[in-house]
Amino acid sequence: MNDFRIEIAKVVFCVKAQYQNVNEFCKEYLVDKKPDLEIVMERIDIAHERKINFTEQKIEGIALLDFPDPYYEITALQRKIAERFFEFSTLLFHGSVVALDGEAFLFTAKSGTGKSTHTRLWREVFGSRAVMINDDKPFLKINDDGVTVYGSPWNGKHRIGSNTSAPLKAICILERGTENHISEISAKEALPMLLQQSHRPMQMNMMPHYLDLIDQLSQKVRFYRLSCTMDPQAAVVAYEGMTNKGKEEV
Amino acid sequence: MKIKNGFVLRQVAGQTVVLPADSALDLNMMITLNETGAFLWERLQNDTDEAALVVALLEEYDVDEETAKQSVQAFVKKLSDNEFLC
Repeated sequence: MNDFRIEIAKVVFCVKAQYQNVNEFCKEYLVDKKPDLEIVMERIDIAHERKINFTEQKIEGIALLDFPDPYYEITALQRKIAERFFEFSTLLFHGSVVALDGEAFLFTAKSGTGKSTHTRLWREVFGSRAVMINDDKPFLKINDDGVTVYGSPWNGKHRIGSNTSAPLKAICILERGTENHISEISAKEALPMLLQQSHRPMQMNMMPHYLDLIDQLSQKVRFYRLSCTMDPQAAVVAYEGMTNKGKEEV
Repeated sequence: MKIKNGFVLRQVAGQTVVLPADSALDLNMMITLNETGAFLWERLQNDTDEAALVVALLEEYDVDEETAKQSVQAFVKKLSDNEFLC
């Protein structure tokens, strides 16, 4: 057993892992603080993760690839931690999050649509004003007065992100297009995406609480749909589309 | 007839949403209900039949019997076709 402590979204976990790779993977989040919760990784968690991997590959219709156990333990830990975060009013979400001047924008879409490419354009266009919070699996904490997005060790295949947080201003559904266009959509229209792109509870009794968190999230941020090219202008269109709306309100 | 176990009904983003409580992956079974649908769903949590649902609709809403019958039949058929009932 390999014990270590990590702090994510202000919660300290004591993790008892099977392999050493996991704490190397989480190294930016290692702390020496009193844990709030303990997570014990078992062989069965790794086997379960392997099964999920095959199911997802079948659904996506791609060749079935297997990976070594330590790889599965890293994603199994993500799942176990996400499961415990419901009690902290925090959701694991799939998307690429960039903060500009301290306000965060989350782009979500199916894998392969170009979320990471789009947030890379933000860094190109806005330079050091743009800070990547996480490129794949950030955590969203639902507070009374808004939503805070936190980085996590699970920051995508390019490992882009930082152990930081920012208030979440908007969630944007990203689609590839031949020109750049953004429009605001209703929470109702965004709902199927919110359910698809967030970690849903494995324990049945957590489902009502999860749906309440989704409901609160739907009321606390704005939603947009962006159709975009891979031209840097896409970042400008997205940013202006999501902030001008805010200015009108003031 | 009644709704099978294992579904959660909740108000989310201004809609009444029904989700299978134990689905880790498959969201195809997610449905949203309008007001009448949600009303009938609640009644179908306990064993009932079409005639009783029509009576309940007539008591709750200002509709004529023929409309209520058609609404109930259509809703029950939709649930039955999608295997929500037992």
